[in-house]
Amino acid sequence: MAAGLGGVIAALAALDVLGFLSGAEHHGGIWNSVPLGDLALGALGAGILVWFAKRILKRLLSRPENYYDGTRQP
Amino acid sequence: MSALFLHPAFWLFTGVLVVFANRRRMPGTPVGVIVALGALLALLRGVEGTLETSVAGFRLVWFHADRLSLLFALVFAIVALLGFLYGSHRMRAGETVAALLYAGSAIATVLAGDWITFFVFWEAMALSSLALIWQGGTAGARRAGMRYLLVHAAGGALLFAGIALHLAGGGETSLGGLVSGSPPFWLILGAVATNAAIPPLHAWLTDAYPEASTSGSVFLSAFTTKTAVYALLRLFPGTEILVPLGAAMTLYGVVFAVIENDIRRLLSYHIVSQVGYMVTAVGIGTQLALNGAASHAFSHILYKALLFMGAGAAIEATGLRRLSDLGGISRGMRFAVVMYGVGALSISGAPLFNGFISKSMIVSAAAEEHLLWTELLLVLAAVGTFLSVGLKLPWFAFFGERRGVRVRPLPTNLLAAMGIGGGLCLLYGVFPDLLYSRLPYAATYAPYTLDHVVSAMQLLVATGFVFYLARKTLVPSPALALDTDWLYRVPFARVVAAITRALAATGPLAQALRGETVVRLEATARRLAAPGAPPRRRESFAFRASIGWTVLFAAVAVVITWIVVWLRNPG
Repeated sequence: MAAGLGGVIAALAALDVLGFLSGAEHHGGIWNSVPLGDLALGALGAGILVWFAKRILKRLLSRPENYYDGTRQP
Repeated sequence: MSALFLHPAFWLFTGVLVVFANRRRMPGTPVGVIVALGALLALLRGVEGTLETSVAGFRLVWFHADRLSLLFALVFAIVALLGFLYGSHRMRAGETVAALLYAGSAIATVLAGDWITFFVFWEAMALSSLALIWQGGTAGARRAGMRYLLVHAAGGALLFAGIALHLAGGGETSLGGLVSGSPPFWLILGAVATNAAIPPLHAWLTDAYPEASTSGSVFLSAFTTKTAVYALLRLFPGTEILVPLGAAMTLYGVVFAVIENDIRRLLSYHIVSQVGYMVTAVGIGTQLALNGAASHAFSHILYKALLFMGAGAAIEATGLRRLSDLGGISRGMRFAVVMYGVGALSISGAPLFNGFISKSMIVSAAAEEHLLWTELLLVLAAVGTFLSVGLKLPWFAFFGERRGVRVRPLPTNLLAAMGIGGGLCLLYGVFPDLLYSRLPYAATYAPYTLDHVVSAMQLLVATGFVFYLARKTLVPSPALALDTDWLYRVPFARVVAAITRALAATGPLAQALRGETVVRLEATARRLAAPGAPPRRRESFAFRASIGWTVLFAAVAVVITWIVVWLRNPG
């Protein structure tokens, strides 16, 4: 599993470097101007999303499934 | 006259009559498949022109086709066909009629050329989608339907008020011509934002769509929000407020999806998120962005229908809908799981799938306009999409820990619909020009550059890596997450109940507020639709009261609008 993932990342890094060497157009944020920038952004973004959703949002908003059953909702 | 018979909605409305007339003799879905195919063929033949009549001095344009409206009508017809094929083993006459009306109204809305026709079919869409939700047949579906009605009555009142003020102020009857910043502009934008499920006006969607039947959800996922996107594209291109709203929307849906346990509610949150991309693009307003919004709506309708089909397949095979109850069921439904995977890769923007060729267009449009934060939010939302739809849902529902859930075989028609849906996602992903050639503006966008492909792959791989590390944290638990619907499910409902009880002694008013008359009308309609069926048990107080208040609210809104219109233009 780890070897496979390492292989995929290596292949992506090679393609990314190739893209930079060939002078292919990069537009957008800074993560597009750095080799493997999207990989770093993806990992960071996914990590933050999981942390925020499970550690913050869930604690604030999670209720038992029968929460609404006793209310006079339609 | 020929235009009438070539009007795609005409096919679907004719189907309503055929199914209703033969409701005891034959199942409705073959008729649904045939008329949806008729509508699709009519659109593929390239219908053009205008069909209009004059009623009470108003010019009603029933059919007005241009590239934008034809693109939406085409994909609506495709998904209607897939929906009827998918549900043909289980849809009864009532659900078929509701779905035909819903699909027909959606197509008629995007082909409407004037405000009045647009309003009529917009509201027909709301009522038929309500009927479709109620066809879910459970107490949860009936209650969610009432809340859906409350929200859409409010949205309809806003639309009515906006159109009335626009026309009273000398505005043209043909669709468009809104003066930016005027009261009609904001009222109509509010109505469209409600149907587009822009937070905080979105909770009707995540509340109601999971309560419909498995086939009902497929139809629901396609029409209401995307008709709103069409309206945004038609009426509000370049409205800057839509950029931050849309970008926030993309993340809002994604974050809630991470903690959601109900598989169809999780997918519903991703409708909110994906429509956010389209809303953002409409706000950006460049040709690339508007093309991106239109193409992403097209792609989204296809892959989202496919994802709801996949979720519905899991529900039909097991009878379970929560991730915490499912697990390890893929062996019994391999083809459906593979097709779900196609939908998941499409929504995640993986290269070779249709989401890639449309979503990247919107992100590129944001980049071209140097909207750095917007671009960043859109990219993060793409990461979150793959995390929950591409990894969390399939892992915990189809793979993961086996819980000994019995998996029933799935019917062929269901698998065929999923196969066609998956094939279309791949077809448009591999041959983007098939879609680009139909966009409103000439498209010169090239999605398959090294930069785009490597960037997308890096995001997907990184997300997969984080999911692998965090998979134990993401284990779903049986709970619900409070959303903005709490406001009208708890405090508002309490206020309404208190006022209704306080007025209980006032006779007719209290009766009206309790919705007695509407409930009787509904019972009469039920007897007509199914003669001899046993009467339903008496509805609860809260259920009846919400009907009464919805009717009262809509009536008050109409009266206020007419008073304002009259004051502005007493002659």
